[in-house]
Amino acid sequence: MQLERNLSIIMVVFSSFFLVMSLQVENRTGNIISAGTWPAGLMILMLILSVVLLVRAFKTKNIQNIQESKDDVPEDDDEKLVFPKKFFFLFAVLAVYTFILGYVGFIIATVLGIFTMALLFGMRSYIRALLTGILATAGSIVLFPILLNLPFPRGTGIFYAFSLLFY
Amino acid sequence: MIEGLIGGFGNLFQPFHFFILMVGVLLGFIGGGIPGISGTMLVIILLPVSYAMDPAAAFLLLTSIYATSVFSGSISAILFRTPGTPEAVATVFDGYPMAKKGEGGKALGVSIFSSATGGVFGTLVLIFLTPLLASFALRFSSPEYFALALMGLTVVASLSAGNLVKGFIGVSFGLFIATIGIDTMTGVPRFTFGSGQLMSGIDFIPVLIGLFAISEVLRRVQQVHKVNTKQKVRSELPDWNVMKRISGVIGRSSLLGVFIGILPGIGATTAAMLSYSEAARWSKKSKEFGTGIPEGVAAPESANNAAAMGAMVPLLSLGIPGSATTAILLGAFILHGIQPGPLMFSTQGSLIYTILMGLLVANLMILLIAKPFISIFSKILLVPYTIIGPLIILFCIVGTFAVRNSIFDVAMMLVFGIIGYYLENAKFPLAPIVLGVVLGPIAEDQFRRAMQMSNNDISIFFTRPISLAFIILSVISILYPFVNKWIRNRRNQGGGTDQTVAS
Repeated sequence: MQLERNLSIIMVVFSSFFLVMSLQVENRTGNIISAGTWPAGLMILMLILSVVLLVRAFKTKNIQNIQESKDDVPEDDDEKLVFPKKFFFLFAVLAVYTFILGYVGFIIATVLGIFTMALLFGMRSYIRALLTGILATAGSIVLFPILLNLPFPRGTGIFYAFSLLFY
Repeated sequence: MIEGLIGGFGNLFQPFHFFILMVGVLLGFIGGGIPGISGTMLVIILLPVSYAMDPAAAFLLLTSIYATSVFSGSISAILFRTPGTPEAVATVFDGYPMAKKGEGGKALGVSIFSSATGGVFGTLVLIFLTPLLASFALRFSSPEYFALALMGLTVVASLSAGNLVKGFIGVSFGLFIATIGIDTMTGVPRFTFGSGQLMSGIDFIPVLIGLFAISEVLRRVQQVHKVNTKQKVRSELPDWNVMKRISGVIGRSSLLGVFIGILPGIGATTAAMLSYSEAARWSKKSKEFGTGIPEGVAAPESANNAAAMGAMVPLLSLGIPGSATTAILLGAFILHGIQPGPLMFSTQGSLIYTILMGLLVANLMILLIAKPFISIFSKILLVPYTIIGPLIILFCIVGTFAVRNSIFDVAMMLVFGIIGYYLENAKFPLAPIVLGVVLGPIAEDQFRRAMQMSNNDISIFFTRPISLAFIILSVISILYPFVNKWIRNRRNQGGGTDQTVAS
């Protein structure tokens, strides 16, 4: 419920902000229905609904609090989120991967990325994780840039030259 | 016509042509099964290769890839919650929960059977009803297209697991995402914040991969993974009871799919989505949709294959592409010096009938080849998640990157992964967001065109019979949950109150 309330607040802010933005979209044609009309309509709808959701979340807060303590049934073992911190680690790895992809190119970024992710997912052996990274990268390079001619990121400088050795 | 079909059949079974057809079917399976390689992408890649072949072989290759990749996208949608092709996005809703319940093989079987049935039905329609259906679709103009899109949107919103408010928020959010970028009608940049990358908008592939696949991986990284050595995924074709159960859904969805496929510019993805929601709407067990039931797999799978064939109708009869891939096929025809259109049946009759028979056989091949293909493909399930998890992420990244060769899209996928994760935690249905993004451009463009046609007179939507019919259906689908609720409350009066309308 806490999450729902927070999300409703984010949605109210989001829709209000983009409603103002929509109203500021340039009207080149002078027509009543301009480029900003459709998104403005959507944002008005979203704003109203988010407010409804927020009010409802506040109204049901107390009832939910009682219910939550009653409904605290343990989840299926497979579904339990045992390592909540790993969510942030994986997100950080993915964010760093996306950021460095353009600079260091696909090969280095992916080998390192898959290696780290395999460890995060619970692989114990560093060698296996590294091997997974290398094989997955090699497989994707053969399949995509070599066989399918897809232009993968090469990186800059020395990384660019390195990528030319493979694709 | 019968002579033409027999001629086409003979032509198809020439050893080289049949060999090419089989290559196309297999490539379509592999391409569709692996997220990141869509049928469209494969057709594009093989277009230059096909130039060296004779037209019959070239089009057998391209069209069989097109036909079978629509089916095989469902394999990874069911097993990994990662649709192999955009057409399989609606298959995730029930296919993945079925796999989670240990019914992956059954889900795959339903998918094979529904896809083959939908595809064969679509091809038969393509063969026999092309002129008639094309003439009906030609009556559609902007108001009808808008009303159709509106119907699609309202249907899914009211399907949002009994939560209308969240469903409509999702749809509005999705529709809004679709407005980002340069406005196609006036050239005005919208919500781009001066970013060059945002100018071309947010493609729906990063949105759907982020919302469905990345959010799932972000959740699973927090869990303990056991190697499931017991679970063998063997696709089992549905038994008589299941077949009986899903036959109505397949029939309706195939019809709807063909019809939507014929409408230019809408395509198999929308057809799958609409037929899923229609199946849920007309089902007695509408509340079970999304929990993992065969109907939820049968509806989108039969519709997308039927729609893929339906999209060939305007291409072959009028020379107008019905979807992105058929637009590429149009280019392929031109590359081979053939102008698709009404005259093609007389000038290139033999080629047309060979293609039609090829499509029929390719769809039947789904029934024959899918089973052994899946048993090889599903060996992946025996690989521990410590390897599969990173590989899914890799496929997601490559799949997203491949659409526009853009690292920005990969970043967008990540953003939507986080959004999807938190929205799902708050029990927000994700399907309406994707539907909003997919239908957004059609809905907005056609709405504005219709308003231009009528000098901003909104009555245009209510004075045209087809448009009015669609709008009435939309209103009914919005009001239906409220009326249903009201009736139930009246019945239960005195028995205490149950949950609120939208919660």
